[in-house]
Amino acid sequence: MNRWLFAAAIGLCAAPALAKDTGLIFVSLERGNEIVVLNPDLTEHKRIETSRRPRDMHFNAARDKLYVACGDDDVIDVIDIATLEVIDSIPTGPSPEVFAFSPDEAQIYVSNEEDSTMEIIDVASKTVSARVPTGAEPEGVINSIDGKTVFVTSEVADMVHVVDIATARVTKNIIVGTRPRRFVVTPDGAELWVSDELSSEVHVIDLATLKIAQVMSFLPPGFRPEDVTPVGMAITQDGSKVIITLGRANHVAFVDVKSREVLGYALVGSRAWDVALSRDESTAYIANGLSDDITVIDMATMTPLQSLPVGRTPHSIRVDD
Amino acid sequence: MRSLAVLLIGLWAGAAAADDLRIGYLSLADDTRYQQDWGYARLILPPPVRTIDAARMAITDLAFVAEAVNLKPVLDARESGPDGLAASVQAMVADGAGFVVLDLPAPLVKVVAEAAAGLPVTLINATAPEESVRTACYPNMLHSGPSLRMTMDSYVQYLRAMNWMKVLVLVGEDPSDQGLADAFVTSAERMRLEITGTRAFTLAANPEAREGNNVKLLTADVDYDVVFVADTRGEFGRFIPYATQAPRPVIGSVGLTALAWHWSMERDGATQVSSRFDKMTGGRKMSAADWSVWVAVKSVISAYSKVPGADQAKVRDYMKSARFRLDGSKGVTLGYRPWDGQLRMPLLLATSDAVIAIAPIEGYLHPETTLDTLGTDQAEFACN
Repeated sequence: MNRWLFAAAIGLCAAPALAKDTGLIFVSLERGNEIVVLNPDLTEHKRIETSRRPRDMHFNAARDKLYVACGDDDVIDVIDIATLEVIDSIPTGPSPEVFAFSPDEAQIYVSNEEDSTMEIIDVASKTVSARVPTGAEPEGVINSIDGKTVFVTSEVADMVHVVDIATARVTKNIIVGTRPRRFVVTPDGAELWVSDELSSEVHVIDLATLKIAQVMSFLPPGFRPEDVTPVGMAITQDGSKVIITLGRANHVAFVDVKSREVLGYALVGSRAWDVALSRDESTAYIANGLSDDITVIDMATMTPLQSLPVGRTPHSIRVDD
Repeated sequence: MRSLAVLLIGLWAGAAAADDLRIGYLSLADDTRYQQDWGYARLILPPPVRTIDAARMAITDLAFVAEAVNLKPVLDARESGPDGLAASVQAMVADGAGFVVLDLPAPLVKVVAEAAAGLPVTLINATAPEESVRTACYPNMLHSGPSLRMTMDSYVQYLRAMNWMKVLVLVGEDPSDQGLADAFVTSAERMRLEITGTRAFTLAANPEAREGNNVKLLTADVDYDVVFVADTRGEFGRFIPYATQAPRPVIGSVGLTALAWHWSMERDGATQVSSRFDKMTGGRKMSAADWSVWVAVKSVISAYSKVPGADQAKVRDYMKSARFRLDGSKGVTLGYRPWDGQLRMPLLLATSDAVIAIAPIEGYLHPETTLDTLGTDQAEFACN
């Protein structure tokens, strides 16, 4: 049989069954106003036109929908995974950048970088139930494991706001490094990691006391501290390893959570921002904001496998497996 | 007696207000740098609006930071004529300002520095680029705007990177124009650019002055890759691009300009800063002077938040240390140089609506930080 035909036939019969765990890779293109969808073999599957300036993305728990914050149209678009089309839009405040779901998915917490608020949006009614004022340029948003608390960074105020969801109030401000960006929470709920883009650090906050437990810094060989601008982070499901993108240093760092040791660095593209892990954690995908490409990394050897162009200004990356 | 005690306590609390962080802002009444100068066609030439909005924006931007460390920033903004500046700065210090941001021309920065000598205050010079203000080495002064030398080094790095090696320098009639031209020539010669000619231009329409008022004649009979224009007022300079005898780009006061800030910068959170400023001022574009004032006030509040309880001298020491990492929304961390108090920063080479390059240009290296390839480096720096 002709190999080309064979591949096409597989593609045809496979497609209808793939509503979930498709293995598809989604990359939001901030200046392309679209999401590029790649097949697991990294060939292009589809380009989904979205509202303008798509940035952070999250699947719902059922993984039949992907939500994407679109900064220039002030909406969160909802994409149906089966059809790969935008099926709905949820209005937000000005310039939504990063968001998180409540554990029951009834609420979305979104940072609006242009008006210094975090909004709590009721997903079913698409209405704003509360606006929590934050420091200027709020960015990272993440939920505590119990869902009662949301953490937000303010890039200008150099702090993490601790927001109590029941009262929609900031209950504590934790001063961290310069220009804090994103978060991960360890799966045991004990620690919150914060990347500080301009002080080249990651602050580890102990969630029991809300105090800084440790400050880590990174320096790939041949770079200077000011070149190292940590942004995106991902943590393995067993909570043992964190992968951190280092922005202008064009590297990612692999960190052992327990010992806080840097296990290694891998060279990626220009201005590495977001990172996503495949479910089996054999592969990491890095979005490179200034070289318009993504880099695929083998986690076992901590080495880059390949980079491929995707479109203008990749912001976030998610894998549906 | 008791009521007197209460009254006294009340007064004391009001005056000392433990949590107030008083930041002064001092500007010059009728500053010619901000005069609304109308060209013949009623075009506004220099930036017509003052920088006080930028100081206010920094306080709003950092409200959360200040609150977290239990400080309440209070802006003490004063404006006076040249003769009243010394008294103004002394009054600000007496009222409790530990930092005063100056939006003043260089000679008056010196007047204020002398009036504040020995007082418990740190002055931040935001808008006087002259080297002489820096080499005066006032122990209590920082500089948040770029020095002239930093600006000129930015042009020179760019010209070298583009291999535009031969430069024709055109100098205007304003006394500060010669200062600009001299600073450029010094930087250019240091990097082995070739100055193929230096010519003076005049606004006089007198036909006898045509060698100086006709752009074609000014730019003829000389070989050059690029024209550098030194024209503080901008009234002549705007007629030079597209009018040179040889088809060559124009840099300096017109054309491609090296600036601390340009509203069209769209990376590193710059857009958010510019659009907050737009919103706050009803649509005004943030100028380089605005940025320098904004970053000055921002640096003060940020520093206080990182060393809680310190007095202004300790805060200043912290600001000049390597531990201080300031975010000016230009993609890299900024800080004040310990030896001259100058804020290290990248400069933008911008046209009227786009940032073409950012200095330090890639490839310029330095043993400590590439930002120190702009401006007078520690080894060459000497107090006057």
